[in-house]
Amino acid sequence: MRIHPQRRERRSIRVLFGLLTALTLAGCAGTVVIEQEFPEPVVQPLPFSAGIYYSPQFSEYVYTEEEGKLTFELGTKQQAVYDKIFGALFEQTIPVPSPDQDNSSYGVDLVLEPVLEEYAFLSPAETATNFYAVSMKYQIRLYSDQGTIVGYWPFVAYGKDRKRFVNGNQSLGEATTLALRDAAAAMVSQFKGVVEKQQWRTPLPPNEVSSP
Amino acid sequence: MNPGLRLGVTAALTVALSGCVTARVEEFMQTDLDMSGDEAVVILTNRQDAVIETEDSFSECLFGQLRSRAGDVNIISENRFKDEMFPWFEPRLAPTRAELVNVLLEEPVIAKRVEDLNVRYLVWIHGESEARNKQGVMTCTLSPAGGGCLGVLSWDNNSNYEASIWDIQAGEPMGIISTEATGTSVVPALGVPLPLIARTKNASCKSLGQQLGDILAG
Repeated sequence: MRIHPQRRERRSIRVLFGLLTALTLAGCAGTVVIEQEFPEPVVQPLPFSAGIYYSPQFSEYVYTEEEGKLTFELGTKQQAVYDKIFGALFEQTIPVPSPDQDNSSYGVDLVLEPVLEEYAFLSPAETATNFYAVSMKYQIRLYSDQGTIVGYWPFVAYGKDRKRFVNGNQSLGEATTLALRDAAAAMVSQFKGVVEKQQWRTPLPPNEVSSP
Repeated sequence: MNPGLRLGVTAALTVALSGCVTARVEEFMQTDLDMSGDEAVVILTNRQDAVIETEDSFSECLFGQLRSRAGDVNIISENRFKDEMFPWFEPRLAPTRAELVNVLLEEPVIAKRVEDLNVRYLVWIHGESEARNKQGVMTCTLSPAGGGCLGVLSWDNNSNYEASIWDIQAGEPMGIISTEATGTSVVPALGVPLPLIARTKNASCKSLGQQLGDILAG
């Protein structure tokens, strides 16, 4: 089929404008995905049996921004990461249906509930740098096997990744991956010490913070 | 086009499309490396600096250079090592001085993993490339009648990288190799832009890779 040269030129320009528009919008909308699998932490497990509770707010957490233009299903991934962290930190982990009930029948020494208090990120335009920066504010709640809350351990994990020319969402996903890896680093190096001291055996006032 | 002429044209275009780059390397080794058997070397980038962060593309380039220049040496990539040692070489926990490796190795499970990987030396890469002194103006137009650009842009490229070599068994620094490459990039446009880019990062990677490769290969 022969195409008239003028029509061909208009079509080329439309394609060029389409490509430019797609490139401009690529970093601002869409879905963020974390593809990387997380390795098993290298750590000597503590000789405890830990009950683990993930609330639906934690395991089904979805970050949305600008009327759903940007969505990030973070819950499944962060639960998978914490499964690996807790699995490495303790000799045995057992899922429990609720943290604030009597869980002694499960044979656990303590119950842990990770809570994501805030997920936030800054784009290169906001920081005037070449990086996407992610912060994830967590709190680990410690319960006795009887369901009494005995301690809180808050921490913030960070990750940053250099911006990519076309796909800003990929940089955001990578920065979040690094923040999750940083969360593992904090848990293994600092939270382990909190548990080693067996602080959950002595009830703490609810607002007392056991920070590193 | 005959093959000789094609090669000549390709070479001429390559030279024309690359800005001039000057690179220099400095080496300060306290002692020679002493590798035996299939002991491994790990290439790591320093992620603890809040301001400077080495590009992934640089560490990948250096890994490739070392693979080709020190082929017999067992070189472990950063990603593999960090996964194998997870999370002890994440930015929050990675040792910042050679002596601190000893503290890390006091933990039996970590020492066992390092032994399994047979790691002898860590090479920490620190540095980055940047563009400065951007000057000039270029205007581009696009209309149904056609498009084009007019003007000239220029900037200075500067790449500074440093490789610190640590002996993980002795917990001691072995030496430092540093490289600096500078050049000026120009993009003149008279209708079509013609980028003449000074590839300082590539030059730094090659010069550091050559020096480090020679040291590792003994």
